[in-house]
Amino acid sequence: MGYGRAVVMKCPRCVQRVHRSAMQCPHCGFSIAKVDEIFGEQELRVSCLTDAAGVLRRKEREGARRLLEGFQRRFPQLFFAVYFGTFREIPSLRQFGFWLLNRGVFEDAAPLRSNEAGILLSVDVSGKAAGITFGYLLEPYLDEEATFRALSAAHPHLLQEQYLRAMETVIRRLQRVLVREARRARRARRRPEGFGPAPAVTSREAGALLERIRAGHGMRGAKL
Amino acid sequence: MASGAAGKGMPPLPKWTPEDFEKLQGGEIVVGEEFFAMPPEGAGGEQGGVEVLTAAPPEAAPEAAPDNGLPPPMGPPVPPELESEFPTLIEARFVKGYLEARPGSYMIDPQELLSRQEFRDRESFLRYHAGESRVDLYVMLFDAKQELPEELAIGKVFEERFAGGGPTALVYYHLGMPERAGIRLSEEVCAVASEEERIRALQTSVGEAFAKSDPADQLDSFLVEFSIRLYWIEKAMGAEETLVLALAGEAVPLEDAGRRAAQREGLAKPVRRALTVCLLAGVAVGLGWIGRLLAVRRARYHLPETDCPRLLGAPHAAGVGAVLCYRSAELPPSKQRDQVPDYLRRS
Repeated sequence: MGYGRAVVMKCPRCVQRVHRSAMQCPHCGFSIAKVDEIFGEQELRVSCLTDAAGVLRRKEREGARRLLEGFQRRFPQLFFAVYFGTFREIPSLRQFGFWLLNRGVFEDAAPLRSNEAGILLSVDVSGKAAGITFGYLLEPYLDEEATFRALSAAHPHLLQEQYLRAMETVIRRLQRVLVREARRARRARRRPEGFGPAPAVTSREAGALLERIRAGHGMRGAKL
Repeated sequence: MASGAAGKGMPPLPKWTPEDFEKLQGGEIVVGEEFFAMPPEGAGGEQGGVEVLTAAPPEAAPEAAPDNGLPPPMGPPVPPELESEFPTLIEARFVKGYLEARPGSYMIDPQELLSRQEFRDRESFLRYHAGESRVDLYVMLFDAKQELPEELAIGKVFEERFAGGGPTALVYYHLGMPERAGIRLSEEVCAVASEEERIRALQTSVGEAFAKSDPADQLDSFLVEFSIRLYWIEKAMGAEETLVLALAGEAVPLEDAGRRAAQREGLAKPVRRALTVCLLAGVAVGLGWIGRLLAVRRARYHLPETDCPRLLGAPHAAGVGAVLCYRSAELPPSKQRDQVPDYLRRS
């Protein structure tokens, strides 16, 4: 993950790695057409803060909106959206997030921000699960690990159904990651030689490593 | 059968016709079937089992009452002024508590706005103040937004309950809103403290209260600062009395009083200097902290845009992040590190 590194994408249904520019998942055959069959193809107009499950009080909604506006101020290219819903028969929260971020029109996101610059936090209040989906612009900067950590930090608040605190925790965690990546990108622009590709391991070194592993010296495998 | 049971103004009860009875016997009518029939498809704007809302402005959506499965509350409806988190009215039974005879307790809280421990702590401070000071300090506690009825006007209560009992200060304090505090001082105290001093005492006490965020801590800070202000006023009262006694020929040597005052002044100078230095340092640190906070808040971050190929035909997004289940504390995030398809996890 990070500026200039390889981008790994996963299928929203089977969570297996998918090659770039694949139109269909080679493992399960999933594509955008499949979720369109479930949720519909038409564009859906929503707000950046959608509380379909009614879990936020009025004051909490105002606090939540301020959080989202603060995020948009700090990252003028991006927007953050949150959806609290009750999903009864839906098979997958990931698929729902994938569909909403592609087919949704977030009316109160700033006009020049397309959904590629969006991060969506979906919360299934009845199934008690939360998931994060993000647009293509954020692919080089966010990954499953970063979103997992953000959700883990919010887990205690979700357990106690403190949804505003959970939302605040997720946003702050992801902000930290994005700030770090933005600073890293700025440094890379100023000094590109420090951000070249990692030196390759020679075949001799790889062979020696394999020998050590086979000989059972108990060394942990080094990253190649 | 009495049809009067319907009562006045109620719709008449339904009546069975002979045709209905025949249908019932023939099985064409099943009693109660309407309650168990499924609603027709497409009702309620559902799509794929998901309740989808169109763009209704959040302000228009009414707040849903929590459906916790409990029956509706019994008894008469609570007026909205008392039902909200910050009631504006005081119940009649509490008004009586405020109007009782001059109480033995310095902290008057019939509404039990403070917890018992908090009440005991503040009460013990006021008792300590009463032991050290000639000016008794009484505090009446109200909720943040409560409006006082006429019978609880501070002037009226002070005249009826506290006047004639020596130097007394009565404070009306609204828990959570220190700026609404009011004070009333007895004549002996007003004689030595000008209106400006009295106003300043109240303002500085409120300012100290605002330094804290917890309402009970705000009350603490208010009382401590006000107690200090009363100490200075009492000092002035003591100096006045010394002068009066000397003029009356009583045995209070003015030179001694002057020497004592000079000694106190001498001690106060380095203390004042140290306080000034600490205050300036505190202000400098505070300004630096505020400046840093503003700088951080105003910072804007820009991410370079890279070409990312479209995945699975999706026009905008294919970034599949993590999904976390929070059904139970026995399933912590550490056990969910391996992200699996939801259909394997969902029960």
